[in-house]
Amino acid sequence: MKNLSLFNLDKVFFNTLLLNRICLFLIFILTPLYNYSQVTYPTSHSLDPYTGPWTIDEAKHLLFRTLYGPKLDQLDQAVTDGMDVAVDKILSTSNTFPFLPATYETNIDINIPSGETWVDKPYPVGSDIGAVVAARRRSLVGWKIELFLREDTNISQKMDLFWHNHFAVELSTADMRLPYQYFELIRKHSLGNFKQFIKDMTINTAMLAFLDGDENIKGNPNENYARELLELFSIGKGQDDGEEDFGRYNENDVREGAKILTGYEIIGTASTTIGVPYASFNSEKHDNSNKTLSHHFGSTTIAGNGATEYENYIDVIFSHPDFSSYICEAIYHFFVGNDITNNVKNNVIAGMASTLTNNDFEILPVMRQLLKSKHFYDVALRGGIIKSPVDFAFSAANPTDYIGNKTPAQDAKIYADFKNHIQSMGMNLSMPPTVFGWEAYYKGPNFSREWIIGNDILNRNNLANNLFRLGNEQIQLDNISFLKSLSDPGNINAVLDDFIKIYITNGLNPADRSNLYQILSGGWSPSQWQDNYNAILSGNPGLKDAVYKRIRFTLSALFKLNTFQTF
Amino acid sequence: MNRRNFLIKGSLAFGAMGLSNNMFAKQFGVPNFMSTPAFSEDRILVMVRLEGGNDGLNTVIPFDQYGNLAIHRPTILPAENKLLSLDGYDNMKFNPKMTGMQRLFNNGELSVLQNVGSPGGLSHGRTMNVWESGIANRFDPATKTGWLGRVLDKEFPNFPYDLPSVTGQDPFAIYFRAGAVKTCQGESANFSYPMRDPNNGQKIGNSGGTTSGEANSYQGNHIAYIENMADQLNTYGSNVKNAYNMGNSVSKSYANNNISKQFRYIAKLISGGLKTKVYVIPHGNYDTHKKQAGNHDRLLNELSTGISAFQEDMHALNLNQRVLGMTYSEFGRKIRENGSKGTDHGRASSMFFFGSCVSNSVVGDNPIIHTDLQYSTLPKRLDYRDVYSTVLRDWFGVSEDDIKSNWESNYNVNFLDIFTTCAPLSTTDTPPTDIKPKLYPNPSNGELNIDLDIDKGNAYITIYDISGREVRKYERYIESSGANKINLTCNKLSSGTYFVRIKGKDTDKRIKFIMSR
Repeated sequence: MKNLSLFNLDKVFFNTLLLNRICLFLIFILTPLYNYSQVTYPTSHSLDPYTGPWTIDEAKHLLFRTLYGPKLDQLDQAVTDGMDVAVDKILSTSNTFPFLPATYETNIDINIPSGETWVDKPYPVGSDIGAVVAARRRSLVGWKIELFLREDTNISQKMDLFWHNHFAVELSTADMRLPYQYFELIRKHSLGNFKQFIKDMTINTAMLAFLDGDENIKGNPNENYARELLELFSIGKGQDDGEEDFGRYNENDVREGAKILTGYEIIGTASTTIGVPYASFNSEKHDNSNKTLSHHFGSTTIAGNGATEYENYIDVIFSHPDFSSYICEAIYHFFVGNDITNNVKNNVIAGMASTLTNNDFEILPVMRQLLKSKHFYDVALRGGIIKSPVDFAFSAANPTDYIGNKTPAQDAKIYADFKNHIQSMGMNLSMPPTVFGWEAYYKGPNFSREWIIGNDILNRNNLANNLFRLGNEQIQLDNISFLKSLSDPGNINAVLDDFIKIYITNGLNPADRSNLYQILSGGWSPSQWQDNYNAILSGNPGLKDAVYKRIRFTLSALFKLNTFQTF
Repeated sequence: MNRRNFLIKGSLAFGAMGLSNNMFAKQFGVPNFMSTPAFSEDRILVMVRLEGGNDGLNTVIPFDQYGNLAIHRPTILPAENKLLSLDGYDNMKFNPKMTGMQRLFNNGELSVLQNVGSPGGLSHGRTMNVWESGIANRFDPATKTGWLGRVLDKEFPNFPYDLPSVTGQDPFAIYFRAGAVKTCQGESANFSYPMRDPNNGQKIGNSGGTTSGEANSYQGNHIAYIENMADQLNTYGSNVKNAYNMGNSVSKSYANNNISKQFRYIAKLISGGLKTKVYVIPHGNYDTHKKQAGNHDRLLNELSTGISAFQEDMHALNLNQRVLGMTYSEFGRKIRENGSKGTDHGRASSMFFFGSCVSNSVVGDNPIIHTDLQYSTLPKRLDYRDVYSTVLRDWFGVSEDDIKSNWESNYNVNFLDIFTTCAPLSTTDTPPTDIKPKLYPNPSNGELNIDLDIDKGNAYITIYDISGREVRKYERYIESSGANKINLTCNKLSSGTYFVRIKGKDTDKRIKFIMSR
């Protein structure tokens, strides 16, 4: 029964006998109410280390927010480890990928044997460039999906998406090696130095292509990157004082920035000789005059300094006294919550910003402090974010230890299937909708509710059904293996409890649990379940289907629960 | 907080802001041309949202300054001999790809508004927010709502508890995207419904399931939201699908692209009886920073084909008296092309209105292109709020008081002359036969005499300058129907070209004249 006071209908006069039915009817007709006029706020806004109880609930909260789909043994391990060790493990990332995008369409990318990577190889001579680009694009996107499915027990996959959303580039259609370099750069810097990251991203080939840096030339500057550098990537807007001033910088800085950034070109796009495209500085295209920044940056002059001038400019941007809060807000939205109240802003964000500035803009100390803080583990925040399409897809699939293990061509089709579902849910992994990123991460007041508008929820239901299909080139979670990995597979109640433990934040109400139980049991008593499970263990094939179906329909129903959309 | 009280308080706050300095309102009272409540007529507005900042200068080319423009746009300006001519207007031409819109213009069914801008700056998200909220000050709480959403909140203060009576169980607005459009954002909920494909109205199965935790938690709030979304989807979805299946589309001129497809959907939905009043089509990407020529031409072609095919459908389906269309974009682009054969963000740009109810083909003079420009943009001459205000008053019948209080208190509304009201649908009268009224002397030195056929009742007379701004208003009472003479004295009206508009019961006439002192 819903808590009707949420909608303050006490002033409306209804016949009390019809109250429930009419109110429910109205509620069902309502367009979504998006403001948090009645919400329980966190009690703690402190970044001091959390010292409260460390139970499965705290461990789940940590792992749900930092991994896509932690498995049962990972959850249990985190409880055993305690907060400090668990967080430290999460933050032990590698700067490189465990595997690279591999070719499997050898009839198109003809010089590369199946299974080898194309990221450092030129285009085949005489081939249809369009077809090769398309094949490499399929390979790249499939690789991204595989990275999700094979995620390691650390935060690197989530950090990758955080930065991908932050530097929201539309991946070039001209040469897939550019987007690969972009992802490679993100992986390299994801928990590293933010200042160096921005410097490297400024001359990253994909970024130069997307925001026209490669065509920003002396005498005819193109302001695209210069603007987004300030507005979206580094310092962000402060107050708007008018049409020209944005509180932390103004239009003059955008114009001067464009001049500073002139001169870089991309060499090797779609080349049949160059294996690795790169950015190159062309002094003839560079405006080497002195540029004067606005009073926001102390009216500093950036002297003409050729190829490294942009680094001097970025140093000045980072020296702004209010530099760090923008990126910390972005981190908060992605990892902690949608509601940046004044309390959050003045305590949590301010604290994170201090940590970032005082650590010379290293991201890792900020994350470590945040993930070990009292505020992060506040009960009010649990389940307070709606899952993105990738959160949804991989929180469903990964705990079952699903990985494609068929031929590369079959796997490619399966990964494409995932990608299509995710795209239909509103997330095109090679193309954030705008340079602002995906709306759920920045567009208030809805934020993560942006993932569930209109038909999006239909598409989630579709994937919930389609995770269990039985064709060779289709996604098929291995329910029996999953079952065997649980704590007590022969005990139907323990199985259901494990499902809830693995998948649900804050538990289920009795009605929902009972509903799932009905589906899981499918008419079997607990002892029948035990017997049938034992029979499977001794190799009886006949019951495998029956058990598979029960798990399938139970999980489908679970993935459609509204509460499963939150984490 | 009690949400209902908050809604009412919100309305009062806007009302309190509303007292404007418009001297005409004070002097003449508030002439309410509509005797029926706002939004009650069967009128529909289609908005095309041109995303990224449309380059007005390459869309509507100020032909009298082609030479200057060519200096600033050596590679991207369309060739002179390819531009499309506009009947009666030698000083402006359309981009070569806009043959459909050219046709509509020459038929009097397309209006161009020149140099429209906002105080919103040059940043996509921020400025589009200014355009759709109608609010310039980022810290004004009204910036969270849309310009249309606020008006709708006033007309339908119980939304979303009570659905707007004028649309019943159909969505008030439809946005062809899986998202909400800011324009329709009300205080509590959005009046628009996201729908990419009207035929894809699958029912959502019972995805219920509340958490065992607190309903007042963030999680609880989210879960309630999701449930609402699912249920709303089911209701609206089936109504839209039914209307779609019952509706029709006849024109063969649509192209095979999204915008044409969405225009076609609208034709079917309206003809199928859907009561939705506003449709929003997103189109883009107009953010042509580089290699503008190919992309922009393609977009204009898509836009023009879609609009003209749709107008064809509206005539064929006998809906043209009920449907008005418009375009909007967050800003224009700079006069001078950049080093990438594109253009960067600029301020003012053109807007279009299309439909049978358009009456004034061009509002506003040509922009001025100086020769000695550096990265400069066109200044705003018409304010976007004047455009919206005119739509609200003359198309939807919103009162002038409500309109004025919709904007920030420091903004003074100037209504524009863009379109006549089409004959109200509540009557079965045929439109009055068109005996041309006579105006003399012309040129005038201050005295105006108008001989015309007009019915007994109140007559409201407005004089507009060449930019479409109202400069004088008069009221007369017509004693008896038939041939009448109206006499006006326009003191202190400076020399120039004007229009006088006479509106009475079943009468709406516009006459151009010259003031010469």
